[in-house]
Amino acid sequence: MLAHVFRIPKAITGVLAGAALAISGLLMQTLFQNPLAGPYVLGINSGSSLFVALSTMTGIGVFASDFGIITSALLGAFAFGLLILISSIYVRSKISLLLIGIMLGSFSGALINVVQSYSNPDALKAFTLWSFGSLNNVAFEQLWWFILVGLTGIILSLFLTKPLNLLVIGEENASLLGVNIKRTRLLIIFIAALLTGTVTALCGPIAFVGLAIPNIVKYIFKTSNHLFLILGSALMGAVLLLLCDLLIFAFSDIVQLPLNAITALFGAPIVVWIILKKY
Amino acid sequence: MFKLKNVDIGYKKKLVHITDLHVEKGKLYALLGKNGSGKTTFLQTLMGNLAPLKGEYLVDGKEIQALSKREKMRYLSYVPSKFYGVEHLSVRELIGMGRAPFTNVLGRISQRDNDKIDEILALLKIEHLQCLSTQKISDGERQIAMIGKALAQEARAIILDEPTAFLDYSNRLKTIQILKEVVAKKGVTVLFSTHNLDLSLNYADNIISINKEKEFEVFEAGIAKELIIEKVY
Repeated sequence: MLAHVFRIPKAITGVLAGAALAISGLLMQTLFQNPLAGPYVLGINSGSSLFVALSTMTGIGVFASDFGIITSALLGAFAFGLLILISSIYVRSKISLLLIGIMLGSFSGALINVVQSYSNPDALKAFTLWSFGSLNNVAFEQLWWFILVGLTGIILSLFLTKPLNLLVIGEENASLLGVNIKRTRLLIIFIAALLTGTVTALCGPIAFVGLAIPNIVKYIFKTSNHLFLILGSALMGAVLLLLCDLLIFAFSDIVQLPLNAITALFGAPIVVWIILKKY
Repeated sequence: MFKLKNVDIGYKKKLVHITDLHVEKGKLYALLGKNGSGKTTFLQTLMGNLAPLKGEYLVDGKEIQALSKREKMRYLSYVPSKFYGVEHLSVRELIGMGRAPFTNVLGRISQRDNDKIDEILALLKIEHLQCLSTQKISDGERQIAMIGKALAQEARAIILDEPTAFLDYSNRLKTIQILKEVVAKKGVTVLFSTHNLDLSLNYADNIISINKEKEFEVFEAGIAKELIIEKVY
C-alpha cells in the first residue's frame, strides 16, 4: 500500500515530464526548422534555472515559497523563450541561432555561479540537488497543477497541428496558406515555455529529452504529420523518462545516479548521430 | 487583376517606383531585372507581405491591405526559388498542403481534395513521384511538385521567385513549359522572376522589366532581345 502511494505520483511525474519536454522540443524544431533545436539547447531551461537560482539563493524573497519556484521557473522560461524568438527574427542562420541559445546557457550559468558564491550552504545544497534533476520531489498538491499544465500543453499543441504541418515548407508558404505566422510563433513559444518551465521547476533542468525524442519519433514513424508526431513524442518521452527512472532505481543500492546525467548520456550520442546524418 | 499606380516599393527606403502596372488575368509574366534591382521586393509587395511605401495597389479593385487572410489565399500562391524538401514529406502530401484553405482544423484531406490532387499529379505528369519523399527527388522534380502545391490552392495567381535559378537547362525549359501549360489550361495568372532572358522571350506573354533608371516597364512578347538588354542590363 505504502509503495503505491510513493510510486504512483512518481510515475505520473515521469510520464508528464517526458511528454512535456518531448513536445516542447518538437514544437521548437518545427518553428525554427532545425532538428537540433530544443528547450535545453535554445536556453529555455537556462532561463528557468537562472530565475530559480535567483529566487532560492538570494535574499530577493518575492518568490520564497513552493509555488514561488514554479512561478520563477515559468518567468525564466517565458523571458528566455521570447529572447530566442526575437533573436530568430534577426538571425536567419540556424547554426547561429543555436549558438545564441548556447550563449544564453553560458551566460545564465555564469550568473548562477555568482549567486552560488554568495549563497548560504543549505540553499546551495538544495539548488545543486535540484539541478541534478529528479522525479522524486513532486508533492501531491503540486501534482494536480502538473497534470493540468501538462494536459493543457498537449491539447494546445494538437490544435496547432495544421499550422505546424504547413510551417515545414517555410513561413512564406504557410502564411499564404492561411497560417497566422506571428500568432503561431508566439503560441509555440508560450506552450514550450509553459511545459518546460513547469517541468524544470518540479524536476530540475532535464537535458536532451526535448532534442532527442522528436528525432527518434520522426525516424520511427517516418511522417511529417504533427498529429502523429505530437502524440508519438508524448508517448516516447514518457517511456524514456520512466526507463531512466528504472535505471536509477536499479543502481540505487550502489550509487544515486542523477537523472540529468542519464539523459545526457543517451542524448549526446543522438545529437552527434543527427549531425552526422544531416550536415 | 493586380493594379499598381504611382507606387514606391522598398524596405523602409524607396527602391523602385512603379508609375502604372496592370497584371492581367490568365497571362504568363516574366519579371526581369539586374541583381539588386528590386525583383524580390516587388514580389513581396505583390504578395502583400510588404506594404507599398506610397501609392495605390489594388487587387480586383480592393486595397491589398484591406483583404482578409481568406480572400488573399484565393488570389495568391507562392513558389520559392529553392525548396530543399522535407524528410518524410511525400510529393502527394506536399501538393495536399495546397488544400489547407479548404481543410478542417486538423488539416484532414477529404475525397474532394484527393480528386483535386490526382488531377494535378496528372496535369504535371508526376504521378510516379507521388509517394516519394520530397527530399529524395531531383531539384527539377521538386520545383514541379511545388508548382503542384500552388495549383492545389486554386488561387488566381501563382508567384514564383526565380523558380529556375537552381535548375539545369532541360529542367529550366521543362518548368517554363509547364507554367505555360498551366496558364493555358487553368486560366491562372503566373508571374515569375528570372535572369533567363531567352526562355522569357520565347514563352512569356509579357515581360515586366525593371530598367536601369529603376522604373517598371511592360513589354509585349515580341520585343527584341537587344532592346531589353540595352534597357535592363
